[in-house]
Amino acid sequence: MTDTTGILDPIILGHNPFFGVDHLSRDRIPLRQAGSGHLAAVVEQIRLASECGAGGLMLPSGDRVTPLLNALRSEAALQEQLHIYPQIPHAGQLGARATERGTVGAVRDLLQEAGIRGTTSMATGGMKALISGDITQLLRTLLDLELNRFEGFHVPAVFLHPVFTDLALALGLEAPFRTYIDHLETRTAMRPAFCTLNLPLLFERFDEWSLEPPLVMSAVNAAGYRMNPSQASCEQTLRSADGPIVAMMILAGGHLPPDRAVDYALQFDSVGSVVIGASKPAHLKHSCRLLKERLADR
Amino acid sequence: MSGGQHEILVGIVGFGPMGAMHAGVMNAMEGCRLGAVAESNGTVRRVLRALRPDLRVVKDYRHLLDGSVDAVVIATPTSTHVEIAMACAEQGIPFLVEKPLARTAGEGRRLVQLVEDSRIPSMVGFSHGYRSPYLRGQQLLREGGIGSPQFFQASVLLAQVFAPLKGWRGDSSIAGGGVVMTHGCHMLSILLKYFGAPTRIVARTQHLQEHDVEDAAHIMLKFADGVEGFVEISWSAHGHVGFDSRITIHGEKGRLDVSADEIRMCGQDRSDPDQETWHILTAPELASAVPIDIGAPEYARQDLEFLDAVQTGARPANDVRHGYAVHQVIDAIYASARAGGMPVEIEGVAG
Repeated sequence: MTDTTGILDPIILGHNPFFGVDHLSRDRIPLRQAGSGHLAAVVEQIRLASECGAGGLMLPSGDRVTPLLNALRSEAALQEQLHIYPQIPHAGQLGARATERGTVGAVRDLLQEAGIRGTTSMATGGMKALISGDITQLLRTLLDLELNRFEGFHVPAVFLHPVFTDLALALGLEAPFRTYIDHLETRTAMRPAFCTLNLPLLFERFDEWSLEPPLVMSAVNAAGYRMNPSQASCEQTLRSADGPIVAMMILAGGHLPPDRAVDYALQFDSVGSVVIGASKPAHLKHSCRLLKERLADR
Repeated sequence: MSGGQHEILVGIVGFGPMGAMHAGVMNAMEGCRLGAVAESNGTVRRVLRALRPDLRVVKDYRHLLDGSVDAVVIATPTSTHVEIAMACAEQGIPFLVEKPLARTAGEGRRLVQLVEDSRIPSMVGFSHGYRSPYLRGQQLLREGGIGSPQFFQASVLLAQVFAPLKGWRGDSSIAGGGVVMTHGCHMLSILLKYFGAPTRIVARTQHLQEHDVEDAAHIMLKFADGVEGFVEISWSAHGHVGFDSRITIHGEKGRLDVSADEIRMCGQDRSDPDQETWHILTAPELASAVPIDIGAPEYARQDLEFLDAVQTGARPANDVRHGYAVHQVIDAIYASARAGGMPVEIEGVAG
């Protein structure tokens, strides 16, 4: 088993039940529709997950996460013990803006909003980088703006959103990966990590670019759902990877029973952590107990 | 892509989110490579050159049509689609144009004629029809899973627009229309594939924000074979995550529900004719892996079909003729809405 001690929590609570980020989780209490009572219920769910052994919480970026972060900030004990794993940037929000305003317009809007929120120096630096076409500095500024939201939390690793990871991989863009890794490693205490739906391609490219094997989160499920270019090639990568790999979508959108899902994911030594998504307390307790048992047996 | 054939070099016109996505998908496909990009924005060109110094990046799309690329993807604002596609067709270059094909059917008519005469592979980017449940739904209908379809309800709902649009999508002179044109066209494309040619349309549209395009539409369609149904389309619908599209089809022997998440089919139980049973297939059960997944697998399925057409000359299901048919329906929807919801009869729509 890959040693992820001190890097990643073995059990990480996923954010889908709270945010309804995809179609499969749509009907499960999306937080953005929630009032304050619902927000309190989400905090209780996170507290329960923490008590059950989920040391980490995966969170998306974007404006909609702010109310939850503020609610967690008012829970000092929970904030202290919880590890947050942000997934940045918020692809849906950024994509919609870019479609509406153009890519440059979307970035300009983000920087202007940052200036209004009070992060004036970052916004100014970003604007200068945008005007001069300094892509490295622009990426660094956008990263800082994203991470600013999570100030005050323990953030062991930051995952690049799969749309951005996979787009950059597909286009063969080495420089953004290097900037992302360098920025987090040299200017923060957070580990750079990547979420991908094309696991073999990521390892292939990193090897080609002579980059260290990355921290990765990817779909790992017995149904082969979102495992590209094929389940077999992903399994091969999972067997050969130095890891550590975080397994997500282990239930394939609720299609697989938890026992089978956990057994499948943990058969790979490279899988050091599992993201669980549970919208009901009973499911959450069951998933955590199952994972702790299976992890202890390894 | 089959082996042994020459590598396809693709040019992208317009490097916004969709242009970048197609560029990534095609660059990662076996037997295909991103060859050049045409982008009007100088900052985007500078950034692209910095990121990919080996890539040819130009300002004017016409510079891509010099024989240096084998196929072109057009991902620019709608008002420019026909001009760029015509230029590609005149040079004999296969193209994939993002949806919708044009601002009106009339605008696209000459392009359809040119493409049909020259037999150039073409495609319009109705990507949602490549989602696994919709593909399987089409297959089940074809196989007579619910008998002859009789009536349907469909919807395309997004929680997206709750303030006036600032960009070109809110400007009808560029976009051609609002939510029907931008998002509803995916469902109209699917309906044409499921039921063939519509003959009568009754529609009302609503303007909920202070821009000059519609934010909601309520449409009744009648098809040549007698199928009738309703479609609700809005990008100002609270409580929806992502692109929420679904259709329920009632047939003489059963019912079929198709959404992005799953298929549910209800029919007579074979062992007990008095009972009805449900068969449910979820997206994970229906899905198949793709060569590259950038946010959604349907883009890879769509682009694979286009690249196969470029290699073999096969006619993609969503070619410009189909895109034009979708536009005839959209034009009829707007005509009916302008007439206060009066029926509009249409003929000659290719299903």
